[in-house]
Amino acid sequence: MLETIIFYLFGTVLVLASLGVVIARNPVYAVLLLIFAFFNAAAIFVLLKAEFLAMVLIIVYVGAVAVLFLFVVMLINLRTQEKRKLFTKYTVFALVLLVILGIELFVFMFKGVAEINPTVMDGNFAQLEDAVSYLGQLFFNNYYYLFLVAGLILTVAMIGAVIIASKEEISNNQRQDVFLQNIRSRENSVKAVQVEIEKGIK
Amino acid sequence: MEITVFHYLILSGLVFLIGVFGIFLNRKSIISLIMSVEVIFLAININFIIFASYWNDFKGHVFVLFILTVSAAEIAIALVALVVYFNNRFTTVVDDLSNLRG
Repeated sequence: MLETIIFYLFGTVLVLASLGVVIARNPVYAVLLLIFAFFNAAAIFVLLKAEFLAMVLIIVYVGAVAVLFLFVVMLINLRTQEKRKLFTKYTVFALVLLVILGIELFVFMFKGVAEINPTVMDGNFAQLEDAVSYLGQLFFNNYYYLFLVAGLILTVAMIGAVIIASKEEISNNQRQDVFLQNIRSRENSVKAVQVEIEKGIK
Repeated sequence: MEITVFHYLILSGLVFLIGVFGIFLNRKSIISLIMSVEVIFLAININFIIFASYWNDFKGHVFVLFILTVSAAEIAIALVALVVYFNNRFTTVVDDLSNLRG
């Protein structure tokens, strides 16, 4: 009974928040609603016995990605943009396409699920002593190649982001040369001259 | 009234449809497009976890973690490209992205 209440509460809020992300006109509100939707999805994950992934969703998505969004939205001065209209001529087209896609999605979903005998989600994961350690064993025994590839993807993304973002590369004559700095002495860089009065140095 | 796999599937399907709708609705501004893609990713992750829980199979959880990794990398690249584009053109409207058309 409690599960039912929690599901309907968080599910409704999740749908409403993601609808808000889509139709919010101010991007800052959209990002904040996205964070709210992630929190509700984390609650749904907990209901589905995926506590570790719920925490990962909050830490990685709310903590990193959504805040990155917020930074970018704040960085870009959106007042220079014109206010976009909510309803354009494409909205009707989008709604029609949405209804068609939704009918297809739900028809095939129910046809598929009807064959696999839908029972109550009891979540037998709870029988496992430690679900997180089981997940870790799965990662590092069965999927370690994919784990390495995931790390590689993140590295490439980081390097790519830095290279795209850095505007001008450091040219050669601005680069610090430690050897040249060290062999520089007073004798070959400073010259004492007698300046004639009212003539100066040419 | 018990919650079955149907209820969860309807929820994730609704979130997915909202994300697709957002791509059509916000086809002007890049940042709204990226946020709609985020919503779609969320729906897909929920779907993976539903079936992981349904079949008592942890492979769904592994897959969700990889999806999170890849989408985080993608979002970082997309946002950096967006910032660079804004610094050059002072706009984030998709329709102005026609430089390469020749």
